[in-house]
This record gives sequence, C-alpha cells and structure tokens, in this order.
Amino acid sequence: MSRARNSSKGPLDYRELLIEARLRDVSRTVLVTGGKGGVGKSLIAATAALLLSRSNNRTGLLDLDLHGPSSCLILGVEDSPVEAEDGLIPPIVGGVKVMSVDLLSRGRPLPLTGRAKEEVVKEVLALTFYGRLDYLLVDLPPGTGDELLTVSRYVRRRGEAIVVTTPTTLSLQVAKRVIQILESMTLKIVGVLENMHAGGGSPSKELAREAGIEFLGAIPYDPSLDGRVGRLRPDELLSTRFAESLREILRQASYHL
Amino acid sequence: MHEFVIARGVVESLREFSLRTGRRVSSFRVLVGELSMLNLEVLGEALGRLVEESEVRGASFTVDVEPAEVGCGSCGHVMSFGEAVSELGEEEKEAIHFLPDLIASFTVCRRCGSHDLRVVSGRGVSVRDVTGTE
Repeated sequence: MSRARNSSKGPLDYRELLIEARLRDVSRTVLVTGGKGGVGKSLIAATAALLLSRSNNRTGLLDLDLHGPSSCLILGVEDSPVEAEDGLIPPIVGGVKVMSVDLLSRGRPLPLTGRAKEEVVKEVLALTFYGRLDYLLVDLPPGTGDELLTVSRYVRRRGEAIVVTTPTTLSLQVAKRVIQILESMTLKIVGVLENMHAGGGSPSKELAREAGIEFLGAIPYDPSLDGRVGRLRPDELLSTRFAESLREILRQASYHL
Repeated sequence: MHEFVIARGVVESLREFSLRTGRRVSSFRVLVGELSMLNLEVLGEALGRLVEESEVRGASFTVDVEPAEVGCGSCGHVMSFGEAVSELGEEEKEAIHFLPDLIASFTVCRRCGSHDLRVVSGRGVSVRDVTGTE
C-alpha cells in the first residue's frame, strides 16, 4: 500500500487514488532534478522528451517548475489543455504530450506558498489525462522543495531521477543535497548528468563516485543554443549538438532511443 | 466536465476506505470549495451513478459548498469569493476552476493591491463524515 494513501482519520483526499491510477499507466516516470537553477534541467527534460517521442515511445512532459515554468516556451506550446470526462488532455508538440501550469496561468506569476504548491502538484497529477505512456519526463525546479517532495511521494516505487549539474562547485554542492533527499525517499537515481561541460575533466564524476551513483556523461557546452532556446522548432532543437550528445548519453543509460 | 473525474476519485477513495477498514460505507459528505466553481448538479449526478455501480452501493451522501476566503499575506485583508473573483473573466475563472490556488495569479488584494494571496478556505474537494457499518 502506498504511503501517500488516505488515512482512516480525517477527510479522504479524492486525488490520491486518481494519481496512483494515472501513474500506473506510465512505464517509466523520470524526474529531471538538480540543485541549482540555470543548469539546463528544463532544456534537458524537453529535449529528452522529444528524442524519446522520435524513437516511437509514447511520451509526456510534465513541467512542475511552478515558479519558473519554461517547457512550453522551449517547445513552443500554444494550445491549451482540453477538458474531457477523463480529465485535462494535454496539447501535443513534436509527438510529446505537454502539461504545465503555465498553460493555465498563461505567463502570469504564480505567487504560491508551500501548502498551495503541494495542492497544485496534486491537482495537476490527478487531473491530467496522459493515457498510456512509455515515458513521462517531469521537469522540476531546483532544490528540494514541495514540488520534488510531493511528486516523489507518488512515484517512488516506479519513478527514477536524473540529477543535472554543471561543472561548478556551487552546482555540485547543492546537487549533493538533492541526491540525499532522493535517496531518503527510496527513489531510483539513474545518475548524474553534467551539462555545459567546457572541456577537461568532469567534476560531477567525483560527485557521482562519492554518492555511489552512476555518472551518465557530460554534454559539451553548445554555443549554437545561445539566445535561441525558445525560438527553435522541435526539429531544429533535435538537430543541435546538444541534442545529439543527450541522445547518446540517454541511449547508454538504457533509454529506448 | 472534470466533475466526472472528481466523482470517480471520490468513489474510489470510499471503496478503498471500505476495503481497508472492513466497514461498509453507509453515508458520506462531499465538501466542495467555492473556488473550484464545480457544477454541483453534474457532480451529484456523477456521484449517484458511480456509487450505485460500486462496492459502496446504497450509501447516501450530500454535496455541500464550503465558502471561500482568500487572505492577503501583506496586509491581512480577507476577501470573500465574490470579492476575489469580481473582476475576472471566463478564461481566468476556468483556470481557477481546475487549480483554485491560481487565484493568486489572476487577482490582487482589494485593499493593498498585493498578489501575496493564499486560499484560507473553500479550495477544493474533500470527502468527510464517512460513516460505515462493520
């Protein structure tokens, strides 16, 4: 029985079982996490989703970065989710079913406090109807806040996480804390993925070794992306060196590409 | 239309409650937050149908509305539902209908103009006062 399940005391939360049922329809739920902002989690999550979809995987992308949602900007999602009897049906871009609070708030700020963030995450998980998926990529905000904790509670048994870093001391230090939280929630950590690698050794390797987890690889810094993220069509994004490096790393990590 | 999804979740949670406690559910109350702006008639009909098709068949229920209050973290002013949504269009109301906490994105405190708003009550749906027999 899930630890998230309703207790016998107090009100019953109708969302708990809906969320479990939704997640049962997903073969692999992949949380894309990291300690620092700006390390490229959202771009990695969105590009990975496109790559998986291109390889004939039924793929969804869920943007849970509530304060800084960017998946829709990266992929150029313009349509709204459609309300149906089964829930909210996400729009599809590049074959990927994309859901984000931004599709409802439409670029407005989201001044949410802790409890409200948990409520929003639960409602989005309960109401979004992806149907059967091979992969659901979850783009998370930096750090160990409500979004990560809430979604981890639900996916722990069938979820996995990729920890994104950059080769900076600050990024590595805070990534350690994320790893500790993920381990405490018994979530499978696929490994550490270093982004914006500038040549030479990868300091994230040492972080992975210390934590006893896999070092997935390093994506070289791709100057062709400068100023273009959010203006590239899915096809153009997939033809970048960044996407090619990510494809190779994910393939090595046993994703179906 | 997502009233159907909610009704399904409510009945599933009652069914699971019944299985877990070994008690047959005889009555329950669904409390609907005013901010969710759910169609109570549609929700009640969906609940009635799903209850009769499930293991909690025969359970009686009521659907009640919990009045909404939205508090301002900056000045302490508390707005009623009517005050909070008074200047919103249909699109904004629809977004709040799905995610009630988005009220803070679409409106400001009527007294001080801040977006630092939080839902005090009347947010979403909960299942309460579940009674059952052994």
